[in-house]
Amino acid sequence: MAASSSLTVSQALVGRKISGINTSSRSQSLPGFSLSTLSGRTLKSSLISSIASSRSNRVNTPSLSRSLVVRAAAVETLEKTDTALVDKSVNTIRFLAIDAVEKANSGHPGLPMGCAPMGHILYDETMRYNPKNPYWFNRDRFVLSAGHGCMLQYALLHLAGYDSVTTEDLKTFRQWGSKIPGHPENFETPGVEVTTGPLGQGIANAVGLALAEKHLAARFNKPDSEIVDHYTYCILGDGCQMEGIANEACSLAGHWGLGKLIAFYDDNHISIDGDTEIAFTESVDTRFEGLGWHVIWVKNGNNGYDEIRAAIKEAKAVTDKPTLIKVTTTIGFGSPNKANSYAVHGAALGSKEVDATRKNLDWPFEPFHVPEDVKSHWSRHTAEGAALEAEWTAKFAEYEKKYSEDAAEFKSIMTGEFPAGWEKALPTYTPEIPADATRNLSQTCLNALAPVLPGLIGGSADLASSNMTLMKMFGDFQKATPEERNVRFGVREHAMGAICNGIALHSPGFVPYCATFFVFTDYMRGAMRISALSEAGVIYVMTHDSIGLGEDGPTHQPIEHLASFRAMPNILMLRPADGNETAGSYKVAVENRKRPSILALSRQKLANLPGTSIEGVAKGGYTISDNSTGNKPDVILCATGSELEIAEKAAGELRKEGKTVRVVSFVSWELYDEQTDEYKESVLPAAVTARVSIEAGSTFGWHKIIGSKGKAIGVDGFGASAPAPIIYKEFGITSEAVIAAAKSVM
Amino acid sequence: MLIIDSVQNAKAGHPGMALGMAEVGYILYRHVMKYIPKNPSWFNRDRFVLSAGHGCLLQYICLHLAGFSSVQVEDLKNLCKLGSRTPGHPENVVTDGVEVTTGPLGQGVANAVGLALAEAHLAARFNKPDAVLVDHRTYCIMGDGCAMEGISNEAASLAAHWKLNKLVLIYDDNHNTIDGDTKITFTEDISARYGALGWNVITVDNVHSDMGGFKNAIRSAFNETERPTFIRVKTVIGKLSRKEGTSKAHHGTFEDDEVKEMKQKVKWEGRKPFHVVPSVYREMKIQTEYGEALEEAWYSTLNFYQTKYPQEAVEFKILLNGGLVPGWEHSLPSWSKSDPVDATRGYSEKCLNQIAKVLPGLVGGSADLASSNKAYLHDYQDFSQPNSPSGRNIRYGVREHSMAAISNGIALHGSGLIPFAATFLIFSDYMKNAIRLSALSHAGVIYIFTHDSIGLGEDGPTHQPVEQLAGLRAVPRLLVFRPADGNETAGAYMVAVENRDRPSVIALSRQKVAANLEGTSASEVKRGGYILSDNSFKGELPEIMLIGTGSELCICEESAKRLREEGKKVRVVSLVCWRIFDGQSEEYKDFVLPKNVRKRVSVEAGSPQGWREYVGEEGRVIGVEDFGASGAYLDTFKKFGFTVDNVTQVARSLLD
Repeated sequence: MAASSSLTVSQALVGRKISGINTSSRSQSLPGFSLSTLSGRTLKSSLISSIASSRSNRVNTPSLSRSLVVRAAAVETLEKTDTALVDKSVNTIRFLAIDAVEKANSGHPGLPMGCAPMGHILYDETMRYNPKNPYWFNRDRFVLSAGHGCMLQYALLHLAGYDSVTTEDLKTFRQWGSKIPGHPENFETPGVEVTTGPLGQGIANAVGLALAEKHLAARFNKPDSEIVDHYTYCILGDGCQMEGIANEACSLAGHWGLGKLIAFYDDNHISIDGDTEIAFTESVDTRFEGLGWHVIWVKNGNNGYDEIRAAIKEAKAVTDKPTLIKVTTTIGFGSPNKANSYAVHGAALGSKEVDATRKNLDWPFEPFHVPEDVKSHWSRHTAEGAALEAEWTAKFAEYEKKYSEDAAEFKSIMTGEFPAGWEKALPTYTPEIPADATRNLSQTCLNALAPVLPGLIGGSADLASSNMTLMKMFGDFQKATPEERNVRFGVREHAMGAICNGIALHSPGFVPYCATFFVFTDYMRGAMRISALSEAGVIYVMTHDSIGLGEDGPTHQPIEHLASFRAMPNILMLRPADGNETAGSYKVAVENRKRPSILALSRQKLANLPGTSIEGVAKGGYTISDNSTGNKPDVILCATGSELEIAEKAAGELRKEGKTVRVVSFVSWELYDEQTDEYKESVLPAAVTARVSIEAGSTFGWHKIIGSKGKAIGVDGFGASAPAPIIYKEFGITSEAVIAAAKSVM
Repeated sequence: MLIIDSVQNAKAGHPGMALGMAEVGYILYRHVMKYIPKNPSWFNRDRFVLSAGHGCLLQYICLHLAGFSSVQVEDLKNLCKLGSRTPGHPENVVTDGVEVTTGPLGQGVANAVGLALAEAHLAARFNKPDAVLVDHRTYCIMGDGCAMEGISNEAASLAAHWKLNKLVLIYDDNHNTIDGDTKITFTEDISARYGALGWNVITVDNVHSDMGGFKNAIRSAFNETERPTFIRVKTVIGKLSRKEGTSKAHHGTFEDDEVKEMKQKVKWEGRKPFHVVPSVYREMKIQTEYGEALEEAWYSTLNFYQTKYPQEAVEFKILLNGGLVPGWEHSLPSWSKSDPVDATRGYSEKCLNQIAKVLPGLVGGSADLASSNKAYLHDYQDFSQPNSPSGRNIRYGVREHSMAAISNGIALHGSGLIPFAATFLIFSDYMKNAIRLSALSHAGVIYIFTHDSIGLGEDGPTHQPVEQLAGLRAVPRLLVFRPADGNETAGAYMVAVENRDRPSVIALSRQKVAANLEGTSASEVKRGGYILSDNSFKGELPEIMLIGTGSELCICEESAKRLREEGKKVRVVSLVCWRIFDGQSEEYKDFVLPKNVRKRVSVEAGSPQGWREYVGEEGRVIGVEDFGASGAYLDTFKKFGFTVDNVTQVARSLLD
C-alpha cells in the first residue's frame, strides 16, 4: 500500500512544475503535501491545480529565484523517496535512539522506536521549519508531551539539520553538560519549544502555542497577507492522557476550536507499571469527541505511513476543531524480545537485545550511523527552511510597508522589545489616596499596561471578578473572537499555568498572566515550576493571599505557600503592600521575561504607605521608614504585603516611646538576595540583631532575615473561617504583638 | 429558607448552589441515604460528599433537619464565624456528619471515589453470603467547577475502571460559575465524557418540578452492578431569587426586599428567620428511624459474624478500632552495619511488606511507578473488580492528584484502612493540594516519595526535586521524614503509621546510600532529630556540628571521620523530621544542638530554605539553590558539592 509508483512521482513533478510556473511563494510546503497525497493514492490533478492556483495569488517575492533552485533540489530528492527510503529513515531514528540510550545506559527507547514513523512524517514531510534558525517566527511548533521519549525529538532535530544536536551530542545523551538532557528542555536545546517530562504538561503547552497562533493570526493577518500561519503538533502518550491537566487543556482546546492543533496520541497500551489494562480502560476516542475534538484512528502506526499522512491531511481539513490522531503503535517496535512490554519503556535494551534488534530490522550499521541516502534525503531541509524563512521575511517586509502600525505591534510580540517608556504607564500613589486591596490596585496596573504592552494577554481560572484581572478595553478570547485578550480558563488551574507557559514560549514578547486564589497555586505547582525551569516569564496574579481572606476558611487560606515559592529556583515571589509596591511588582514582573513572577495580593483593603516606591520593589527589600541615625536603629521590623501596614503602625507606637525603629519591606526575597553586600548592610546592619518579622503566613524561612535572635510572627497552623479582622486578632497578627516582640528582642 | 437566613446573618457565603440543589438534598436525606444522627460514625452508613463545598449550607441544613446534634439552629446562625461548627466550607474535623473536607474544587469527587473503593474492598474481604457487614453507598454532589478540574476526570476514570457500582455522582448542571455562564469556558459534552470513562449516565431534566425523575435515576444506580452512576441534574442556580439562573447568585447575600419576595414565593412570609416547619423534622425522622433500625440489625449481624467467622471477625474489629494492633511495630525490620547497603526506597519496600502482614488495613499503591517507588505489597493482589477486589495494591495510573485525594477518602472512610500513595518526590507538586487537605482533614495518609533529590541523576531537572522538601515542611501538621538508612526508614514508618490523624511524607533515595550507619535507630526517629555520633569528651561540647538528612547523612558521617582524624571534636546530627524535632522540649533540643556550638554545617541535597534556623548566622548551609541537571548521580552530586571532600572543606573553613 505504501509504495510510491513512478507514475505518481511523475504526477508530483507535474504538480510541482505547475506550482513553479505559477511562481508560488510557498512551494516548499508542497513536497510534504503532495507526497502524502501521492503515496498509494490516486492523485486528482484538479487538486493539484487548485492548490497551485490558490497559491499563485500570493505575492511575488525577491527570494523567488533562490526558492526555485531549492525546489529543483527537493524534487530530485523526492524522486528517490520511496517507501524503502522512508523505512530506512524511520529505522535510522529508531537506532539513533537505541544507540544513545545504550551509550548512556539510561533513558527511554520504547517511545522513539514506536513513534519513529509519525516522527519521520512530521519532520520530513509535514512541518515547516528552518533548522538554521530554530526561532523563526512562523515555524510549525512541535511538542513532545511524552518527554521521556526525547531521543525521538533529538534524532529528528539531528536529521533535520539543527546545529543543536550533532552526532557528538547524541553520544553525550543524559550526561553532565550535555546539550541533550534526559527530558527535552527548550533552554538547553534550540529546536525544542518547551520543557516537558512531567506528564501532561506538554499537551497543555501545545494548547497555549496553538492559542497564541490563533490569537496572532486573528489580530494581525490581512486578507492579502497571512503573516501568522503555522500548526502546532504534539505527541502524547498514555501517561499524559491519564493526567488531569491533559483533560483540562483539551477541554479548553475544544472549546476554543483550535483547528491548527494536531495531537498524536501514541496508543501503545504500555505504561511503566505494565499494560494499561491495569489502570486505564476508558475510551479515549469518545472522551475527546465529548471534549469537542475531531478524532482519527490510525490503526497501524508502525508502518502505515499512508494512514498517518492521510490522517494529517484530514486533520488540516478540519479547521474548527483540534484533531486527535490516535496512532496505535508497538512500544519498542523492532526489539524481538522486549517490544510491546514495559521492559522497553524506561531502560536501555542491553547489548544483546540491541544486536537482536539490529538483526531483526536488518540494520548492519555501526552505532550512531546515519546512512548516506538518508542523510542526503534530509539534507534538503536546510535549504528549504532557509527559503521558507526568506519568503516569510519578504512577505513581512511587504506587510510592514502596508500596515506599519500593526507591524510595529506584531514586531514587539515577535522580538520581545517593548515600546520605550512602557513602564511610565504604571500608576503611582501617595498616602492620601484611600486604602484599597492590592488585588484592585493590580487591576489598575493591568489595565494601565494593556494598551502599552501588545503582548499582554491572560485571565483567570473562573475568578476574574475576584482576582480583578479583566482588561476592560478588551473582550474575551473565544472561538469567534480570537483577537481578544481576556482568556477564560474555567476552573482549570493546572492547565492554565501550562497554557501560559506555551503562550510565553511562543514568542518572546508575549506577557501572559494568569490568576486564581493564592491557595490554588497548589493545583498548578507542576506548571509553575516548569515556568521557572523553562524560563517562561508568566505573571501569576494570586489574590486572597492570606488568612485575611476571611470567611472562606482554612481550605482557602494560604499559609505555607509564600515559603514554598521562596524555595523554588528562578521564580520571583512578590508580595506588595500597597499601590506603589503593586506597580513596582508589575514593573519587575514584566521586565523579567525569562523568569516567572508570582504576585501575592490581598482581598482586604490596605493603606497607601509613605516610603513605598516602585524603585524600592526592584531591590526586593528596602527601608520604608526609619527614625534612627548612623545605621543603628534599636529594632528593625520586617514585613511584607498586608502586614507592612501593621509593622508601620507598631513602629509609630514604639517611636512614641522613644525607640529608634526601622521598618523594612521585604517584598521579594529573591531580588533582595541579588543586592550587593553593602546595600544589604544598609538595610539590615549585622550589628542590629533586634529584629522582628511579621507576615500572615508560615514563619518558615524567616530566620534567614531576622537571625537567631530575632522573632518571627506568623501563622504556622491552618487558618479558620471568620471575618478577617477577627482572624488577625485571634492569630496574633497585630501591631500589639509586634510591639511586644520588639520589646522582648531589644 | 434556612439557606437565605444563614447567608443574610453571616453576610457571606454561597447561597446559589444550595438553593438550586435543595430538592436533591432533600431526597437524599429523606428517602435515599441511611444514616444515624445519633451515631454519625456508624460504620455501615452511606457516605455523602459535597464536592462543591462552597454550597456547604445545603449540607449543614440537611444535617440539621435530619437531627444531627452537630448542627443546631444556633450553628446555622454562626455560619462562617470563628469557632463555629459551620465554617465556610465543610470540614470533617469541625462538623460531625461531614465525611471529608471540601472546598478546593474537584477534591470531593476523588474523596468519594476513595470512600467507594474502601467499601468495595472491605465488602470483598469480609462479607459472607450469610452475613453482609459491609454494604453502603457513596453519594457525591459536584458542580461545574468540579467537573472542569482535572482531578475529577482522573478520579472518574479510575472509578469506572474499578467498577465502583455503588458510587453515585450527582452533577449540578446549573450552567453558571463565578465568572458567568459556563458557555464562556465549558462547552464540552460532559455526558459523552462520562460515558467514555465508563459511567452509567442519566440526565434529569427538571428536578425543581419533578422529583420523580431524580428518584428514578437513583433507582437505576441501585440496579447497576458494574458501572458507577453519573446523574446530571439540570438545576437553576439561586432558585427563587432575582438572580436565579445567573452567576450573580453563586455567592453573596441578598437584598432585604429580595428576601421578602423569595419568602412570598414559597408562602413563607410572616415566619421568623431560621423557622423550620415542624412537619419537616417529623418527615426526616422517618428516615433516621429507618437508619436506627438498620444499625440495630447491623450489630446483630456483627454478633452472628463473630460467632461464625471468628478469625475474620478479629481482623474486622481491628479495623473498626482504627487498624493498629498492639506490638505491630515489632514487625519492622532492623539493619546492622554489616548488612548490604541499598537505596532507602529499597529499605522502604522491606518495611512496607513486613508491616502489611500485621496491619490488615494497609492498602495503597503508586501512580504508575510501583516498580520505581518500590511500593508494592508482594504478598497481595491488585485491587481489581471483579477478579480481586480484596487485593491491597492499588494501581492509580499516572494520576497523582486523584491518587492523593482518593487516599484521603480511604483514610477518612473510618474503617482502619491505612492508605499509602507513592510517586517521585517531584510530583508531589501535582498533588500538593490533596496533601494539604490530608493535613487539614486529619487523614493519616502515608506518602512514599522516592527519587528525592538531584541524586536521581539522568532524568534531569524536570524530575529532580529541589524545593519540594521545604515546601512540604512548611505545610502545617504534615510530618516530613527523610531517612538516611534502613533503621531510619523503619523509624519513619513507625511514626507515620502511629499518626493516624496526620499525614506523613517519607522522602526516599533512588540511589544506594553509602552505608547502614552506626547509631541510627528506629526509636530515635521518634524525636525527629538526634545525635548520631560525637567524639567530644563527656560533658564537653564539640567544636563543630554536621547536620544532615537522608542520603547526605552518610556524607556527614564520613566527613566527621576525616575531621576527627585531624583531631577535631565533631558531632553529627540526623534531622530526619523537623516538625517532630521542633516539638521536643527545649532541653532536648539544646542537648542535640547546643546554643554554644555555633560552628554548624547543614548538608541536604535540596533547597537551603529553612536550614538557617538550625545552623544559625555563622553556620554554613550546603544545599541546592538552582535547578538540577541531567547527569549521572555521582557527577551531579559532585557538581553540587555533595561530596565528603567538599563538606570537610567547608567544615574546615569554619574551624580555621
